[in-house]
Amino acid sequence: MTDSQQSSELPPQVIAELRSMGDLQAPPELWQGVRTRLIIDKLETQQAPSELWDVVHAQLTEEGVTARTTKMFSLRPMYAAAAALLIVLGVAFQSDWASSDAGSGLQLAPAISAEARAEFLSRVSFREVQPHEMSGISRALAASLSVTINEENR
Amino acid sequence: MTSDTDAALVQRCQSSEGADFDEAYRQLFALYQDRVYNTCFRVTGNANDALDAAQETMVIIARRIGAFAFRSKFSSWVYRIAVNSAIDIRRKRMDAPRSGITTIVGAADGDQMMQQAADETVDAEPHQQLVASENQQLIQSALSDMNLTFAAILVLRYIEDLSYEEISEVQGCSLGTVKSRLNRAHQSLRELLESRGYDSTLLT
Repeated sequence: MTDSQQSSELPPQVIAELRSMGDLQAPPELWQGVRTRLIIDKLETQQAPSELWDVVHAQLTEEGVTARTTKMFSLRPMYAAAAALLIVLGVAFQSDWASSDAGSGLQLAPAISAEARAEFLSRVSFREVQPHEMSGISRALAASLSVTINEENR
Repeated sequence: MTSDTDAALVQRCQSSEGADFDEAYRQLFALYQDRVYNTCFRVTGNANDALDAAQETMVIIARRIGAFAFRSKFSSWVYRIAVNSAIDIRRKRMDAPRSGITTIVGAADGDQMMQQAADETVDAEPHQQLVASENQQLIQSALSDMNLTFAAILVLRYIEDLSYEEISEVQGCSLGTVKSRLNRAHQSLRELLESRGYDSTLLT
């Protein structure tokens, strides 16, 4: 079978129409898209040089960034300790308030059972404070928690 | 453009890097961009998918040109990647709603619908040189709806004017298979055109 025989199986008019459909031009976006993807390819295949860490580390050391970073991290235990203290204070208030049947002065919420309190106390280390022992900060904290401090026991 | 030009540019790409590679590849791109885009457009049937497929084609060429071993013509390799990219994208769109010319022309019952199709296509794809005649619109709609392999072989044979040997390289099949596929593609195109109101006197 020759080319001409094969072509004759479609009408000449259809073949002529088909042959005239090959004149589309690629839009400019095509090159822009391809170029962008090839640039990204190059970026993805770039590997950091082996001496990169040495250079960065030396520069950080020279600028004292490492020391500052260490100092900053050293503050974290302090924050944790302060948070723990606040929790303990909160627990103390609650414990005190839980036994408010005796008129301890702190009133937060309905009373909890003695069993629950004993269970709680067995798990938490705390120090109970009286209102007159509280500092200004702890009073402010209590106020922010809407705690009413009965000053009568002072 | 000749195969010698292709080969020289391909070898430049293979033996260079950085700015030299970019320059050689840019020249290859300029030689092939319209043919790649046109092939992708005719197989996918719309400008957006054609742009995606053509972009994928040119990126693949850039990435793999270093491994091109000249076992076939470079142009055949390019067409193979273009056809495969276009077919991949068209398959992904199979379940998506058709837009523009295909659906509307397929349901057309008169000049008004045809004009509406052309107008909507112009609005959606302003950068395109659109098919000029109603017959070309019908042919494009038939290509967009027919079996992907048949559409591709018609595009390669008649629109891109490839020989049977080149098509066999592009599709990775024997000459006999090319001829067989073309026969079935002709039959499919005839049936689709008849069903869409193509002037029957032109089909005899």
